[in-house]
Parts: sequence; structure tokens; C-alpha cells
Amino acid sequence: MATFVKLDHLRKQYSPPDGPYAVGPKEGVNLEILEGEIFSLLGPNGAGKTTIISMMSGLLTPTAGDVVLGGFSITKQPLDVKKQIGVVPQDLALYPNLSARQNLNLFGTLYGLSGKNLSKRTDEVLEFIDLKDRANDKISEYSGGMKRRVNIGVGLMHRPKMLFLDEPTVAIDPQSRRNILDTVKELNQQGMTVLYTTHYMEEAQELSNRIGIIDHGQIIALGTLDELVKTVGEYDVIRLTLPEPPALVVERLGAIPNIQRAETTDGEVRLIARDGRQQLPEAIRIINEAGLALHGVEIEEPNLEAVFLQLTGRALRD
Amino acid sequence: MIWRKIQAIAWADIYQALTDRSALLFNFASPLAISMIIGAAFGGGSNDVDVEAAKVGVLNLDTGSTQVEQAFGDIYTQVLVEAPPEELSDFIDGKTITDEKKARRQIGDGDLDVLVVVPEDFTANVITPDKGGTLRIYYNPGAGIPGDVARSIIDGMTTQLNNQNIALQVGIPYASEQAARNNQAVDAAVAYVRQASQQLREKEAITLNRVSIEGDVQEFNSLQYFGPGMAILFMTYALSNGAISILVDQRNWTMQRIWTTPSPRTVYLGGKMVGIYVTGIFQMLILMLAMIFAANVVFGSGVAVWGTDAIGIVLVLASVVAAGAGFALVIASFAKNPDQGGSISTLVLTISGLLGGAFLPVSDVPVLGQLSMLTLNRWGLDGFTTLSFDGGTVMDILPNVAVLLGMAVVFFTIALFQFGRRFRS
Ligand SMILES: Nc1ncnc2c1ncn2[C@@H]1O[C@H](COP(=O)(O)OP(=O)(O)O)[C@@H](O)[C@H]1O
Ligand SMILES: [Mg+2]
Repeated sequence: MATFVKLDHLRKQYSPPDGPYAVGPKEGVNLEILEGEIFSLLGPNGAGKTTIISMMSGLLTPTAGDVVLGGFSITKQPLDVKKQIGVVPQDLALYPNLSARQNLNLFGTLYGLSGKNLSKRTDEVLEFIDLKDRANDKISEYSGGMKRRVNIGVGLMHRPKMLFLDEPTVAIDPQSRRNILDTVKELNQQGMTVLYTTHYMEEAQELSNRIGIIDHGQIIALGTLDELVKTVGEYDVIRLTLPEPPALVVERLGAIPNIQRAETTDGEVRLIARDGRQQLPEAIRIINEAGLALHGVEIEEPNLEAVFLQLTGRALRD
Repeated sequence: MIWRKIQAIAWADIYQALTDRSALLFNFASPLAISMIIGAAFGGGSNDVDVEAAKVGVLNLDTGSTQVEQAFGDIYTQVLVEAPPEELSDFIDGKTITDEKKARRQIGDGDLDVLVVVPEDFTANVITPDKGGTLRIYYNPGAGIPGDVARSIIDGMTTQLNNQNIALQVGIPYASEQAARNNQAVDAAVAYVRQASQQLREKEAITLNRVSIEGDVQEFNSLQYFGPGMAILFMTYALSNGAISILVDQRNWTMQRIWTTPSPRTVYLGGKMVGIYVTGIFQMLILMLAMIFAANVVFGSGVAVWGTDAIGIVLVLASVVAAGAGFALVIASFAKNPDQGGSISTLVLTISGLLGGAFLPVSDVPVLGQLSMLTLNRWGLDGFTTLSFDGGTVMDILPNVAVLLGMAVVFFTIALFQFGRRFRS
């Protein structure tokens, strides 16, 4: 597959009073997104996902470096880049007192559509996001999931080659999330290149051809799901449901040979273990010995969570 | 293409402004209600049965003529102020006026019932054959019977003078003869007044004869003052909502989203400014029509609240809305967020309205009067009142238009600069 986007030594340095905070290492972020793929940026809140998307869509001027998209530089030919991208912001960037149709028309006009083309495309998009029958209701009267769909629809008006979706599933019900994930897959099958940011590893895992893991403004891992998981090797994650475990117990669990690390997060102890099943009896023995009640046990095959934990020592959800 | 985009953004703004029910209620109903209440308080046709002395002001600017010994204007001062016949003192409480504008405001406030203005060239015109002088009489139709009495007395005097004038000839050579004729005129006026007051005492109606020397009688209605004041104030409130919508767009990310479309950034601010301006014009027009309706139907006076000079009205309207839009944008451009923008705007715009005379005339109050010159409210209000009860024309309001447009240019420049600074990323 051909390269569609190239982040070239891209870096943003926020300055005081809000900063200093740098997105990108000293030499900047270098990254390529291939034509037709779904590329996910996976990272916790504040990692720098929105900053990168904003630089890529011409909202933020990079402190250093450039983004070349479809052959055009965002710093030198911003309008040529913008014609090719649809941006779906993290917030619901819609006029709440206008209807879905009015919002689509407004942004369609700003994308350069007019007349018959505009009204035809508005109808198509309404059909695609399945809101034809509510098209003339105000956005403020919609459910969260419907708003999210309009938010995506606006980014599709000009049939962009590439779609940027910034955490499009935050704060919605499971059914709406399912709907959005399927929509993204469908768009990708139609040939659209997608940049998808999320802090849900399940989404990155399900959607992506390739994933970049981002933390504290740095891309700390990059590759396909398989490649990333391989970096943690044969490690599994053992989740022990154990309310308020004493620190001493956690320390003893971590000291078991072949257990690389022990972490506590909200009522749960996670052990990163080589060959998890083999280490489980010893872990349970230590817990019993401490007189603690074990509420549940789960062993996870290696996944992105484990990769993140391995790389940062923190859980993704923190 | 760019223009279509600007239109689309402007349209979204106007549409939202005009479909927001609570905003509509605030922007249209309240200024109308407030000016009606003030209007009713100052002149809604109250009928005092007690005949009080009418407060009459005389502004005598008459420079006379070399051909007559006494300027005719002095006759009015003498009879109404300095040496009124005894019978008249019950009905007229006269004083000389030096500041015409102030006096007209006083009519609006009910501090003065009738104002007689004798222009500079009055005598000169009176004695020029086929010309005739013009006397300006202002009164508040709400002043009730004292006002009517005073007016009829003045009308009568004028008629008498007029009759005398028929006998006057240009170029009478002997001073003594002139003096004699002038005394004749005064005597005639006083005689009329005697007769009139006698009739009043006998509770007979005085027949109004207002032909006079081309007696140019203008009506005043307090809506002419408070209407424009309120309309301008609430126009600025409405525009501040528009200006603050830029901050709301920033918070909601709709502004950022517009910037991700292939449109130059100026399209967004351009669209906003057009939207704000059109909303302001619309708001003013609706209020202007509503107040005309109120004056004519509710108060039943045939007064032209906004005057009759269409071009003048359009010029003041266009320039005061431009200044208002600029001012609202400046305030918004310095606010941290929409909420802060809202409260600061309300405060600043209300102060500007107060200073500018929206609630009470301030032009004659020391300090405040001078400070008020800094507000767009004052310049806009003066523009409208110049056209309405001052009977001014386009030429008279050009200074106001120039100042307002100047303010608009300064405000827009500051706002563009400040928004440009904060949106640089
Ligand atoms: N305008 C700004 N000024 C200063 N710091 C900012 C600004 N925007 C974001 N940041 C900081 O940059 C970091 C990355 O933010 P962001 O890109 O929004 O992360 P994410 O989208 O991954 O949650 C955060 O620590 C945030 O506080
Ligand atoms: Mg973000």
C-alpha cells in the first residue's frame, strides 16, 4: 500500500501559561499512514491525540515539522489538504439549534458544495447515518448516539479521501458505539483512509490495520496488532479481583518467579506473567495465606492493554 | 464561492438569533414595553382638570432689523416672561431659555409645557413682503390643559402681530413712527391676551387660530426620545449575543470545525460579522415599526416617532448598528469565555446605555453630559432625535453618522486584531 500521509518530524510545544507541554519527542513524530488503512492512535487522556489531529487538519500550527497528505503540505498548502480530509472532532461540533439537515447544508457549503449537488449529498448522508426521518429536528432534541452520527455525517459531506475521527465513541451507549464502529468499517471498505483515535483498546484492536500507542506526547509503539502483542512476548495478564489488597501482598505477588510485574487498580490486581496458568496456584496460595477473599480470577491472552502496561507500568484507563 | 460561504455562516447566525424564543422576547418585547411605560408616564394624554400655570420657555434669538426699533421676538419675551399682563400670570409661568436642546428635553420630561423659539431672522423675514417669519412652537401633547392654554395665547399673540404686520412697510424712514408701530403691536398682543384670559375665566373655550405668521407647530412625543434610546440599547444587547456566539463556537468546536474546511479563516469572521450586522438591522427595524405602531395606535398621536427624513433615518440606523456591532465584538474579543462575555457585555452595554441617555436625558448633566459623548448610544440617539423632534435633515445628522462610522472602524479593527491574536495557534 502507498503512503497517503506522512508526519515529518512533527512537534508541538505548548508554551506557558498553559504549557509547557510537548507533543512529540525532541526530533518530532515521524509516522506514515497508508492509503486505505485504518490507523489508530491509542492512548490515555492527555496523551496528545487531539494535538496531533489538530496539526494534521490545519487547526494548530506545528512548532516544528510538517504533515504531507495526498502530496500536499498542511503548512504550505492547507486548503489543498483540507479538501481531502473530513474531520470529526472529539466534541460534538454542531449547531444545537439547527437541524441535522441545516448543519449538513452549512458545512457542505463550506466544503464547496452548492445547489443540487448539495441537497443531493445531504440526502445521501442523512440516509447513510440513518437519520432521514429526524432530519428536520433540532440537534438539541437528539439522543447522544444520534448527535454522534450527525457529527460524523458532517465530515463526510464532501466525500473526503481520508477521515479523521477523534474519540468518536466517548460517552455513548453500547449499541450506538457498535453502530459507529460498523460505520467506520463500512467507510473503510468503500476505500476511505481512516485515522481513528481512542483510549479504548478494544476499539483499536477491532478496527485497526495498524496502531500507534501514544503516551505523554510520545509514540511509544507502532505496528499491527500482532506485531505489538509480540513485543510483550508470551506474557499474559492475570486479573485478580481483590478489594483493597495490602501493599505487602502485592509485593509478594510481584516477587513470584516468572511474574514480571504486579499492579493494583480499582479493586483489581493485575499480574503480568510468563505462562499465566502455571503461576496461578502460587498466586492463590499467597492470597489465601494472607487470609484475603479472592472474588474472581481471569487470565487474558496478550493484548494491547498488556502492551501498554508493559511499556508504561500503568493501565490504559488511568 | 467565498461570498456564498460567508452568507451560509451569516445565515446560520441570523436564523438562530431569530428562532430563539427567549431571546426574541427579551430583545423585542422588553424595549417596547419599557418605552411604552416611560412614554405613558411622560405624556400619554393625561387630562388634568385643574388649570395650572403653563411652564412656557421663550428662546429669543431674533436679531431684529435696522428698519424696526424693537425686534418682534422681544415682544414674546416681554409678554410671556418679563412683563406679563396681570391677567396672564395665572396661566403662564414664563422664563427665558438659552439652550434649545435642553429645553426640548425638558418638554419631554414634562419640566416645560411649551417652548417658543423665535429664530434669528424672524423680524427680518416678517417685514419682508411675501416672506413672513416662522415661529417654532414645541409642546408636549401630554401636557394637558395648561399646554393648550399657553399655546392658544401664543397663537393669539402671533395673530395680532400678524395683523399689525400688514400695516408695516419696509423702509419706514422715521424712527418715531417705527417705535409707534411697534408699541402698537405690543398693545395689540396684550389686548388679545386680556380678552383671552377673560374668556378663560368665564370658562369659555378659546378658539384656536393657528394660522399665525406661518406658525410652524411641531408635536413632541416622549416616544421620540425613549423609543430610539431603548431600541439602541436592546440592539446592542442582541448584538452582544451574536458576538459572544464566536466564543460559544470556539467552546463547541464549531469554529474549529469550520477552520478544517477548505475555506480561509476570514470566511468565518466575515460570516459572523455579516450575521451580527444583519441581525442588528433587523432588530432595529422591528422595534422602529413597533414604536410607530405604539405611538399612533396606543397613544393615538400622529407623531412621526422617527421623523420623516427616510434617508436620514437609514443613515443613522446603518451607522449606529455598525458601531453597536463593533462594540459588541470588542467586548467579546476580550472575554475569557462565553459566560464571562455575557456578564461583562450586559454590564458594559447597560452602562453605555445609561451614560448615553437611554433611560434619562443626560446631555445637560455636567460630566455625564460630556462622558456621554463617548458612547455610541448618545450619538445614535441624538441622530434619531435630530431627525424627529428637531425636524432635522440628512445634513444635520451627518456628524452623528461620521462619528458612529468612525467608532465602528475603530471597534472592528480592535476586535479583529484581538480575535486574530487569540485564535493564532
Ligand atoms: N492549547 C493548549 N495549551 C497548552 N497545553 C495544551 C493545549 N491543548 C492541549 N494541551 C496539553 O497537551 C496535552 C495533550 O492534549 P490532547 O492533545 O488534547 O490529548 P488527548 O487528545 O490525547 O487527550 C495535554 O496535557 C494538554 O493539557
Ligand atoms: Mg483528545
